[in-house]
Amino acid sequence: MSLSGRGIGVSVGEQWLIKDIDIDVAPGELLVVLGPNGAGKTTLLSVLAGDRPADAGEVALNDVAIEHIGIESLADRRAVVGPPATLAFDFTVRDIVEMGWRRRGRRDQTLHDQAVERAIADCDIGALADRVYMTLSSGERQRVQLARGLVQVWQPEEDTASRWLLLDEPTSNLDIANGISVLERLREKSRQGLGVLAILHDLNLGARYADRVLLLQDGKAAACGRPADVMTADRLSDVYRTPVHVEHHNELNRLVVLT
Amino acid sequence: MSAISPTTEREPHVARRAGRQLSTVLIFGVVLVLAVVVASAIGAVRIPLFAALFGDATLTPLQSMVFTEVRIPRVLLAAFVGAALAVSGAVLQGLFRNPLAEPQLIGVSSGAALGAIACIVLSENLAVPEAFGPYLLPLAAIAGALAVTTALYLFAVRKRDRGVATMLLVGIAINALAAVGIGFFTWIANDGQLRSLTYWTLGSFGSARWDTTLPAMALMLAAILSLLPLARRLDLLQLGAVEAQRLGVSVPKLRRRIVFGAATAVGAGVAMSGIIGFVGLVVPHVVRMIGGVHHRVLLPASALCGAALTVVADLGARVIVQPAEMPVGLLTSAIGAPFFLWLILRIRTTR
Repeated sequence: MSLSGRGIGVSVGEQWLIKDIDIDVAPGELLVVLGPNGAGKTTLLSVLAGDRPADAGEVALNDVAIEHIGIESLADRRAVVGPPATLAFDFTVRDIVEMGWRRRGRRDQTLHDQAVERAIADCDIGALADRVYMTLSSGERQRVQLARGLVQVWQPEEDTASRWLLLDEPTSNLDIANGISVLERLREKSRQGLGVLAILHDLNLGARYADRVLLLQDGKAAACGRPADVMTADRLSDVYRTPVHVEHHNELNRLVVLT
Repeated sequence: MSAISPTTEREPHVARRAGRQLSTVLIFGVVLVLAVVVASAIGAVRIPLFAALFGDATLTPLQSMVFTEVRIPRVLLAAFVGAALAVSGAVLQGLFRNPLAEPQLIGVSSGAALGAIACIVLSENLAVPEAFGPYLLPLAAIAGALAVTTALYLFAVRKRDRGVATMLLVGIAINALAAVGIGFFTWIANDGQLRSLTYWTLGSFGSARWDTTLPAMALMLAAILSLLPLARRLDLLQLGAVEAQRLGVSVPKLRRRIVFGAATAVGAGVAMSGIIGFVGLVVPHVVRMIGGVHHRVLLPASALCGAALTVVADLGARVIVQPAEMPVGLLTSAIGAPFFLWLILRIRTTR
């Protein structure tokens, strides 16, 4: 049971944006994708999300090839949180969060309310709920998008089918405290059985919260595994082409990345 | 994490929103009924409505004939065209994610007019079966509207959103192209055809007759009914095509249904009444101010409000310069054009 890619490649003309990537996102884990600009992180995410077909290799969700899953059933199983959207009309924050809701029946109303209120509380946007989305700052919008994604993959306790949440730089516009709280939330959700893949730029957030790290370099997987194994000073310095130091901080008892 | 009690937190705002949405639809429904009643009674020939509706013998033969053969089809046609234009405006604004999309501004109405005019000028040379006759004009107009909407979509949005300005500029270009076609057909038209052509450029419900308007009204009704169920998908589309797809919306299918539905509604409307501008722009904005931005309210309320607006505008056109009549398109544009200017200035300052 996982969202997996085998030998995935995406090409534009002669150029391979990503090539030969093997990846598994298991329910219950938080996988962080790291890598410099242009390494192919977003391309990888769009293939795993089913936005575009892979030009090589295969993406499967629970062993079913993703192109054979209808977009509606796909939307029932996985949510994608991209960069904050720009809207032409005055939808409120609550409207946007509710757009993640997929069930239609009338008897689902209580579940709907639970899911929406939970997500609003999780993303700490209760005070913004009745504001017009387009009046928010980019960091606030980002948390609203996350809340929408959480509503989409929300499941009542008796429902045990696995779900996935894919996030493209969910913390890029957030301050330190909000960034940490988002990652805390993602880890908490993964412990409840959600499979989470997050593209991050902040190496320290990655080192601190990832169960596993996939490090991309020029469209290929440079390394994949536990943060302590993947995020070595030499490898990061090589991949990011700038000197990077990695220490185990004894007081904090975790990896600290210094640049 | 603290426990959440949705029942206590939720009810006020959800109930408030639902109440606002329902009352918006009801208000516009009542306004439409009033508009239809008043417009049926008033005109060059005054008609005592109570007597007309209950077959009272006090009605003169002239009154009775005017009521059933002239007034009623005209008011109904105005209502259908207004509803069709307003709903088309609303769905096109949603499709283009652009508050300035409007059938006339972006050239859809001109495309329909071109189709209709081509049909008027050329059909004398074609052998058209009698039964097919009433449908030919609307179908030609729909084909024109469809061609323009598709072209517009390909140029202005296809790859990515290119912004408000691009869509309007493409609309200007398409309007210019359509003007060339319209000019050409005007040039080759004979005197009799010319008289029917002038009427397109102004817009009027004066030609309403049961036999010609019924097919067009059926088409408009079908188009509006096909657009109403798209409300939730249109809401999701506001996040962008990719996001909507990720939320389970088949975007290409949705686009096809919108383009086809809007083109049918506008085409059938233009075929009957010529170009009536700005209804599709003004009405959805007024409805949003009152009922909010959700398409499940916006679409039905726009239909009702648009119908009421054109019925009242047509009443004005018939009454203001009695016994003559002014073109209704002139009236709606007189209201709509300043509104358009205000809207542009507002968007410039807030975005």
